[in-house]
Amino acid sequence: MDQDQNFSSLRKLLALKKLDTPKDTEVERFLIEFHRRQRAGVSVPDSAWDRFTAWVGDLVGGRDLSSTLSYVSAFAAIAIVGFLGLSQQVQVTQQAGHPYQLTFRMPAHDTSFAMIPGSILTASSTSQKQNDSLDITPVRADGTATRFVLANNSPGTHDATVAF
Amino acid sequence: MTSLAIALSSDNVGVGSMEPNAATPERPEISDRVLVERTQGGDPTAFDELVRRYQPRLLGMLYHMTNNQADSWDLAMETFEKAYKSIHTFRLDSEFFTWLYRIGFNLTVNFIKRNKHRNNLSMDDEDLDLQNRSEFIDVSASGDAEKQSRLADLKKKLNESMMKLSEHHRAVVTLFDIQGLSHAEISKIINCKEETVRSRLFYAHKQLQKYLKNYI
Repeated sequence: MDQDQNFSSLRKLLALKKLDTPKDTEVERFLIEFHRRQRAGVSVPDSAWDRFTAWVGDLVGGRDLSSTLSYVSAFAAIAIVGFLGLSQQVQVTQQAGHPYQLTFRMPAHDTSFAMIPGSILTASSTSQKQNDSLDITPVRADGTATRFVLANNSPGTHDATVAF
Repeated sequence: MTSLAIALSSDNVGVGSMEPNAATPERPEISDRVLVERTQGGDPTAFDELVRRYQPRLLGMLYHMTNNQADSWDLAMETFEKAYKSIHTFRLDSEFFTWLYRIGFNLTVNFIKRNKHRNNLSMDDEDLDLQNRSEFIDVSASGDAEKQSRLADLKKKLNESMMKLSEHHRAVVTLFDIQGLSHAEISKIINCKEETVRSRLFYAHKQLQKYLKNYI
């Protein structure tokens, strides 16, 4: 079935619509209005940021762009901080004749503490410093005491566990 | 059958071609690609030339989609603004006018969806002045009162029928039958396969034939 032949009468009728154009097609007036809007700041070429947000907007496909950007920014901030922190403590070195060596550097001056129940510590594992420490052992109503120790977990100093 | 309509051959009106206006010896035609490159390089006058080149045809397409002069003007303005703002994203391996038309088409579809409740049919307003056009006066020179009446009735029915079509069917009829674009060009503008364009066109023609059976 020849569609064109079928619809030839219709297409001639539709050709009438070619004459039915808007009266006001004045291009120069259109351009004046276009420039006026540009001057008003309505229409300026996109900045790099605008193009980036438009690109992200296309990626997220209609979801709320501001909340998406918030999540992305937060994740990026965490990733950057983590990377910088790790990069200061990890070193890749190579000596002549040796393969690459990955070294995790833990600063000696850093001291990490953990509160652990004193009951798991034997008396011999506590140093004599406990005598110099302030006794802040809480006293319970039943007469028994809950002891906590302040343990220094720094490398090379792990024997300096202080209990109080 | 209305002889007024049939007497008007599609060859009489040359608004279908999307080729830019022919270059004159004094003023050689600058290609769209060069104008786009200049605009991307920061020359705003190059974009003005693109506006001059495509505004009338874009406005015509938007007018047939909305059937409202003011709306089509606003949409054309919005289309060029959006095109200017995102001109940096335009890839030079594609044609500028299909890219521009796609922006206009998407804006118009969204506009029509937002304004479904509005009755855009304005047969009695000043938008439609077909009988005053010189081309038509030539065709219907021997017209009498009865012919004028039938013409008014015909154009009313024609516009009503067009507005009964969905946005996408109206778009393919507008771009193919009124603007004279090819299936390939239309498929790029409305972002679908050529087969889809053909099937939509066939369906739209069938619908229009049904609506206009008393005039064909």
